[in-house]
Amino acid sequence: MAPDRWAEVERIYHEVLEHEALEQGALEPDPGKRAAFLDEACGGDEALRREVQSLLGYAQASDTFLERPALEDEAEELRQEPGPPLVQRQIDEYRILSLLGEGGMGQVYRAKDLTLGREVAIKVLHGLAAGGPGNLRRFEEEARLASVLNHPNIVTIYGVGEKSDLAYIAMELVHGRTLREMLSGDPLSLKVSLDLAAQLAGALSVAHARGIVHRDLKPENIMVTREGRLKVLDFGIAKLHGPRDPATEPRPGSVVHTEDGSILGTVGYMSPEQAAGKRAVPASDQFSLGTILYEMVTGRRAWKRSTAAETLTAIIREDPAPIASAAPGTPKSLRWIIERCLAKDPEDRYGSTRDLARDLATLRDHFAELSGADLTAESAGGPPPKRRGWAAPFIAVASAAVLGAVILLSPLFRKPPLADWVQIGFRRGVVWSGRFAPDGQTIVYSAAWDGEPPRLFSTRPGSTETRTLDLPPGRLLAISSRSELAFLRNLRLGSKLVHPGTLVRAGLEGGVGRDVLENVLAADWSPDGTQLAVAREVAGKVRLEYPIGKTLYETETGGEIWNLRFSPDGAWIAFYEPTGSGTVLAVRVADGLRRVLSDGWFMSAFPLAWSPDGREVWFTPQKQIRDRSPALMAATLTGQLREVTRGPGQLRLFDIAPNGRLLIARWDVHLGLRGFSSFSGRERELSATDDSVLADLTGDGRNVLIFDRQALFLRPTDGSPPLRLGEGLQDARLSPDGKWVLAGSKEGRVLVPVGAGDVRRVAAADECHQTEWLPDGTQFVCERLSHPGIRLSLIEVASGKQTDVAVPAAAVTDFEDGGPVSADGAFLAGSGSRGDVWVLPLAGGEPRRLPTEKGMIPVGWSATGRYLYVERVGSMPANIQKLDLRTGRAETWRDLSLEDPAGIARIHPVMVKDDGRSWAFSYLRILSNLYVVDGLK
Amino acid sequence: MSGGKAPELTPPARRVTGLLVAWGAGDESAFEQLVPLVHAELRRLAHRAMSRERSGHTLQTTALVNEAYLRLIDADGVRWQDRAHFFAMSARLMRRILVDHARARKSQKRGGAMRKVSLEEALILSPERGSDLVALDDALKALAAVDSRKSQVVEMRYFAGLSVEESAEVLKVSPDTIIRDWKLAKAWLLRELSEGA
Repeated sequence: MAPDRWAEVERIYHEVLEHEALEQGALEPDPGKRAAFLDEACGGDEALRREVQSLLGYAQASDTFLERPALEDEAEELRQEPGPPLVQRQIDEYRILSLLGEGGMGQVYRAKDLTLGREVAIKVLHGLAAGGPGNLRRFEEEARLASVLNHPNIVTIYGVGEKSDLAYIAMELVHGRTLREMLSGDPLSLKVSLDLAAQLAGALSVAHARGIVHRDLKPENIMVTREGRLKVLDFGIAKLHGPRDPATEPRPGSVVHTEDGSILGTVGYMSPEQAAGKRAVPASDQFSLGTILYEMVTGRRAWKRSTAAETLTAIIREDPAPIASAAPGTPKSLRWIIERCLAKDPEDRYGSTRDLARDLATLRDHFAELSGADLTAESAGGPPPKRRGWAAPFIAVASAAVLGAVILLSPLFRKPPLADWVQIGFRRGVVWSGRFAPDGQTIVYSAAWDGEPPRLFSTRPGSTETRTLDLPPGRLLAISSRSELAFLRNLRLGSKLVHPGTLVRAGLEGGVGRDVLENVLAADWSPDGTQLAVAREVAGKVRLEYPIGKTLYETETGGEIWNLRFSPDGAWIAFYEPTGSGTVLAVRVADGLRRVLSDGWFMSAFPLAWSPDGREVWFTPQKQIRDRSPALMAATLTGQLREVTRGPGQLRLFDIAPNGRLLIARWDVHLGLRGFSSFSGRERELSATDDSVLADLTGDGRNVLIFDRQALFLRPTDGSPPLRLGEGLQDARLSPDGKWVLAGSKEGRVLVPVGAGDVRRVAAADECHQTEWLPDGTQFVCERLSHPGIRLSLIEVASGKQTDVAVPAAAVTDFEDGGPVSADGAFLAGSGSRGDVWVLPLAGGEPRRLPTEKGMIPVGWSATGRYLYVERVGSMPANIQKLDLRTGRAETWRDLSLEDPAGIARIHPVMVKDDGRSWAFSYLRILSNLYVVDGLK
Repeated sequence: MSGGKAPELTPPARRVTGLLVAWGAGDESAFEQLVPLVHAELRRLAHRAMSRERSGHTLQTTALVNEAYLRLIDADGVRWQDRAHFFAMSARLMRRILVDHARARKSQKRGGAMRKVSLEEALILSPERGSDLVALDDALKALAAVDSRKSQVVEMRYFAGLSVEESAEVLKVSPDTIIRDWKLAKAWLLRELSEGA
């Protein structure tokens, strides 16, 4: 564009925005006024007007775009990457798999014990040897001492060792959260607090009986599994890092300076005698337990001060805020236990930790009686509750919880649910969402039938008639009590798992909808049908707003919220936050109070709905990526979780009608594989299992290699049965003679014989992230990632000898992903980072770079090496083109599709071999059926 | 790791600055040496952010990143032609490092993982941010052809994290101009990324 032309565009663009900002505060620009303004400003110059208008269309959406500096994203990415040096290394019998976390004294890794085959956690302490041999010996002694502790609430130590400059401890791998994560502000329920405290005291009493003191009990050192089992970490080890890392345990009596209070978390649980620099005794652990229990019950830190020095002083001299006022609902008996643990003089605490453990266990076991008399007497006599008014509902939910527990404990009195499932609609495809209309009969759902984009439909159970709503393609979110729809159109594919789009409201009869808001992920109508609650992206975070504009909850950067639901009385909004630990949350509309209903679920499309009485949120979570039989679960506001039912295959609960009728979809996900070979002369289904992905197609088109995530299979393309080659093999390539498979395994790169024989390791190829055979079968190309880009070498199978391929600088950074090798073995084709295709001569020399459309990757060569077959990734049907290397021109060679397109979500990867006479591809098919279910409780 | 020994992990700011000067003068090998230094610093930063988060404190990456930036680059230690030149070079460095890294990460995911990860995973898991950065870099090149100052503004603000005022100083225009440039550039880039793909 000519510079003066561009200057004109720029001037008018800003004029419009500034004018609109003055006119109307510019929240929602008025299209009519904008058009009139543009007409005048552009004076009939249509091209100018089009350009400005098109840019203006992005003005609002770009508000939040790029506002977070790239460096921040980078730090975030790096933070999620495994620690650099140790991952994949082997230390003694342990192979390090991934970084779990990093603390003051070293890193903790997930690792595999290669002799016993189990997974363990490895805590690595760097540079310990540098602290002198005495230090190391002390570390080992302590760890050995701790390893004799055998208790279900103490993390088991498997062993200690040292290797070069690092020492390590191997211990039980605990799946769960730290108590710190559970204590994020709100008090825990009385029942949970008591249960955890009793478990903790039990563990301590066993250790104390053996003369072992923990010394550093704190919520960070305590983990709780999903089943609610508590595990104490770092027994006897804590003391060791004191001298090494003053930031986490200050030397007694020394001046502690803190930059941001991060120390408080650790000095805040210390006993007065430790704070005064004296030796820790068993009663010191009791004090720490008292401090933790105080925090669980009140939701406050007992000794929170602004500096560590003040905190230490407070621990020595002051009393925490009385529990009776901080948490008025706390039973007297529990208060007394906490107060006794928090006595300044160790002599005034429990003489034996076993007594403490017994007291807590008794209290826990009589919890039901407790929440009756003890509680009500307390609140009747005491001052009215102040703290955000939580005490009164707390009593109510506490007794509800007891009730729930009683019901759960008496399965004999429950009739097994006899549910009645009626299928709605019989077309084939994917049902993405659905809701009952206010009449409780009509069902509106969005579905993609027979390979078409998702549309909205309405129907009634028992009726054969289905109506297509006259609305643009989109995903249904909610129907109001006034029969108004909220749905998302214009779904924006991007970094989010559930695609954000434009929120539209429209009548149930269809017709023109009205755009409400951009960047919306979820929404629900308030029960009276007047207002919308929305989850929308703002500056990289997702905000839950109700009404629109008022924030009730906000995720961390990069967070997401799916599937908002108002409780039937409108007091709570429940939603699912997939980021972090996969949590079902509820926020109270009145004051933003938050409750975790359930967590620890794998992310997946995850609808939820309230039971008609508003006591439970029902949802159909997955425990892992392809959970084959996930249950329908129900959770109360106090976190009581129960299984309602289990269905065949994956269930997705969409809605619950006021009469308790459910709308549920069943999902079947199938990963399949098809191939055509010149020998068989037709295309065939070649899946080995329900989860088959194409790994390789042999040069003669006679065999495919299939990866099903667990095992690798070889299958002839004539349809004969698959042959299982082995497990844990990835990036597999069949040798040209068909006798070996070269693959990545846990032991490094290996050659697996197709017939009889032994697995051979090819050590030279350990770091290759991708390999391709040369046609003679004596060598293969190895692609490694290094800085600043790729490194290619040829490796001889017999000798392991490596020869680097000279790659010119431009190709090092821009060559992205190696693909097939030409039939004469002279060239490697690959895709470039700028949407182009590369051809690299393996003997060295200038590479060729062919500009193509974006997203094209080479998938095969013609026999003469003149043509490359390239796949347009993401196209449906999968468009394969033939790229003439002489002219650089490409034309469609074939569009790959399935005769039955229903539910086909993707075709990829594709491989073309045998001079274009054989090919194979994988596909993903999702088929779902919608059911109305009665009788589940 | 934090603690008393941290300084020896810090890349010597003087060395970074020296390399930056050399790179500015056209020495490409200086860039190669800069990359691991900057990466080490970013990684240190990321892990520090993580240990803070674990101790229950909210992540303040912006503050940490700014700190890293200051630690990396000794703005006063070397006589620059002027401050503006220094900022411009730093922004260029950051852009190149971040885009290269995103590209490497992308190919790692695609090359290494694509054929292993099942299609369902590929469908439901998010496209990596890395590819966004590479696409943005391309779009920025296209923008430079239309209006090079606007692409520089994005480089300053987004890649180097400079404020409006700092960017104004580097580009020798008023802060108002930077704000307008920034707005239009973002709309232009978003359009390019949405429609050009």
